[in-house]
Amino acid sequence: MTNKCARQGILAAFAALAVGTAGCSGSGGGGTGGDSQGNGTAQLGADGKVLDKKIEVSVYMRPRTESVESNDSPWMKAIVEKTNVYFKWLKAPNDNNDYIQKFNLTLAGGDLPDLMEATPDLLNKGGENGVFEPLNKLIDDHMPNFKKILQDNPQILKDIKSDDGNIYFFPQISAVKTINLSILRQDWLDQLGLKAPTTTDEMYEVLKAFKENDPNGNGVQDEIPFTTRNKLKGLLPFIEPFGVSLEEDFYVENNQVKYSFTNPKLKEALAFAAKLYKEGLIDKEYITNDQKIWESRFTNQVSGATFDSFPRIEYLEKLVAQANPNVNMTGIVPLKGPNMEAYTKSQQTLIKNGFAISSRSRYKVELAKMQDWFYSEEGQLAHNFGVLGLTYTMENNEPKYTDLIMKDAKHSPLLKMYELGHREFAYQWDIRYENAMVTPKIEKIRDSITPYIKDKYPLTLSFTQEERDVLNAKLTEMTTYKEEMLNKFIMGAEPLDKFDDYVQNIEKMGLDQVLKIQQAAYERYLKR
Amino acid sequence: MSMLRIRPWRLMFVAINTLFLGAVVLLTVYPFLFIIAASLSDPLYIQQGRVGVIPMGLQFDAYRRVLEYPMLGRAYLNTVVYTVVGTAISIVLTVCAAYPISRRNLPGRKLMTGFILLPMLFGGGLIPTYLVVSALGMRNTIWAIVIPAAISSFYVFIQRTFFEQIPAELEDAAKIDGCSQLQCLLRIILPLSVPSLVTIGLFYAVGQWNSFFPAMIYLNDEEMFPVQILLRDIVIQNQTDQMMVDVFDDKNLIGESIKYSTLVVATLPIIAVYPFIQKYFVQGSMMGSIKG
Repeated sequence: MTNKCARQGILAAFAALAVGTAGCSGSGGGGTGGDSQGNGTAQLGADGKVLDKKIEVSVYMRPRTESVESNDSPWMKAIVEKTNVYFKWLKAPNDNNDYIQKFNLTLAGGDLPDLMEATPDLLNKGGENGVFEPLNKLIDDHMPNFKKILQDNPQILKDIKSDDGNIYFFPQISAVKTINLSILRQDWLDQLGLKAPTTTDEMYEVLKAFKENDPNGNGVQDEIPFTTRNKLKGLLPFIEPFGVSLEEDFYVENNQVKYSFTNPKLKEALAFAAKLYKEGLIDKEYITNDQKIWESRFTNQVSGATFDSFPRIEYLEKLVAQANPNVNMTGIVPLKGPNMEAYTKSQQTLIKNGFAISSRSRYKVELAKMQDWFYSEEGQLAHNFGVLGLTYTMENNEPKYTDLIMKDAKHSPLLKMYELGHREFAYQWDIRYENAMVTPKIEKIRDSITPYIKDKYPLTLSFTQEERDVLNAKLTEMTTYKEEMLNKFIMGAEPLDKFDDYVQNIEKMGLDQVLKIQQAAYERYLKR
Repeated sequence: MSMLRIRPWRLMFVAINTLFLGAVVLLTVYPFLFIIAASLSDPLYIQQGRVGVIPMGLQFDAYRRVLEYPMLGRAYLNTVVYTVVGTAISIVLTVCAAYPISRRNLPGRKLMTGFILLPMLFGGGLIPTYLVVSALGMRNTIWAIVIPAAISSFYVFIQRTFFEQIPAELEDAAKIDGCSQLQCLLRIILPLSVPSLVTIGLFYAVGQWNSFFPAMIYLNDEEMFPVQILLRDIVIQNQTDQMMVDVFDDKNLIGESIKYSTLVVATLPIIAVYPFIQKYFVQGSMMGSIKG
């Protein structure tokens, strides 16, 4: 699902860029930063500020719940005073799709703000079309701190570089990889005298017990043990243990790129999922469930297991607690399969969004210097922890949030930070910052997943226009067909002996061509 | 005087009619009642799907949260300004377009009508529209909201048909008395067209009131946001995107009720307008369209 959205986004970006470049040609090369000192190592001006002169830049960035956008907020004040860069925030929509649409339109309009936030692929495409400034030279000349991060973490460099060899954006670098995991009602397990499942067989037993032993105690066998709001992808915990993941369309075996959904291992995985479905252990309506129904399954206490992102453990717990205060949700590590060690490919990329500089900005050098300070140790502290004494204190050389952040009566720590003016610019997220977003219990569960996470097929491949045309034509068709067929196999509408026919049909849709393109793009990626 | 005889088939017709229309009324009213009930209910009951038309677990917290929103007053003011200014511009322009093409003696009338018809069939597309609005320097001003949406071909045709129904003799008589063409329009035609003007005015006003997309793409300044954007933000805060680790806050729990109270807050004012102009509405919307 996410995949499809992403693809639509890319298409929209293209339409926008085609026009955007036409609108932006003309006065491209005016990159003369006013008071550039030209000297890379001299970082700070005479008065300890990053820039000698005060400048104001416009920025288009993702708003977050309750975020306050003000240069005078306690959190930002310290940052803007230090850098001498004052921000003028263009109000951006909260909704993700709206945000991307406005981003694309702004690019098309040609009159860009100085700094724009978006996903890496959108920014790289903009950069390749000349809308955003290539940063390579700025990095060499003015950004020693950022350069060091890139040198120390070649993976980051690989993930942000565009195929044309340029870097077009400054990444937000996160510290946490865990994202989705199986979530279970621990209180139901306890009540039925069961242990948290570690293998597919044990999972089957647990779900069966949930179904048959009436854990919600209403005397009716109305339990739907496992539910999801993520459609097919929500069934990942039953598929991955067999050695194939729905998290990646392609996988690499002996340096050969292959299609995940024709992987022979998928047949066994589908058989397992189909068995669960047939016995009513998986929500019969998993394919149409939305957030609302998903939530109602839990608040009505008919479901005891799901597959979702780790903060949802706490969310579900609070939801169910309204109906049953004894609820206790837990998250478990990935399951072992019959011939497979436990692993998962569900993960967050270390690169979140990025920030790119408009190629027509008057302040390219200044922004590069500001960004470099964001990546410096001092900048990291200011962004992650805020103001010394107010929002954090130093204990044994470790920053620690104060009670103002951690013990607010109304808000969770992160929202409190937003309220104080904290904004997620491009910098390295500190693990202690990400810890503040969750409770200690969730933090522990979250970290227990980390060792199981395996790298997946890179998302940041880039393609030529011709390649994209082929992918759009063939892969889209294949994706629709495979989605339909996988659901049919699981729901029993199509017997699994038809699996080979299904594979043949996919091959007939031009799998060869698609794989050739992916192989080429993958090899280019490796060479970056 | 003979007694009015009620024939049995007539009675049956009335009965079936009443039943049928009653069912339609229920169908239309139910969503409203549900939303109002949900906005007053405990979110747990909404999540469990147990709320009907009667609130369960009465609470006013959701309304309090929505009304507490700092920018709400400002946003309401903006919406009212956009609606009033936009509707005024729309009506003036619609009359200016509809009146000429309703006169049978106007040369090139067919061609002009054709041009007005064209945008009903094809749109300019999002990006070209955006580029035009940008190039005219309307971005981040009220004009980006009211000008591109100023005129709708459909309402021009409704208005034209209405104008055509006014007998030509009336205009002739006025001209003999010394009216110029413009005076004819202002003194004779427009006063006779109040029902249809009020009707299309209401259509324009509702459109402007509910409009959110132009504001989202053209405005950058929160001070200028209409209430729809703000309320959409409130609603969306509760949604999360799958890839993003979502922020968890106790506020999410009351989210469901907030959504519904937001809907009520956003639509109630414009709904409140209806009763006052309903009498024109009933006359007006049908009148112009009979011959169309």
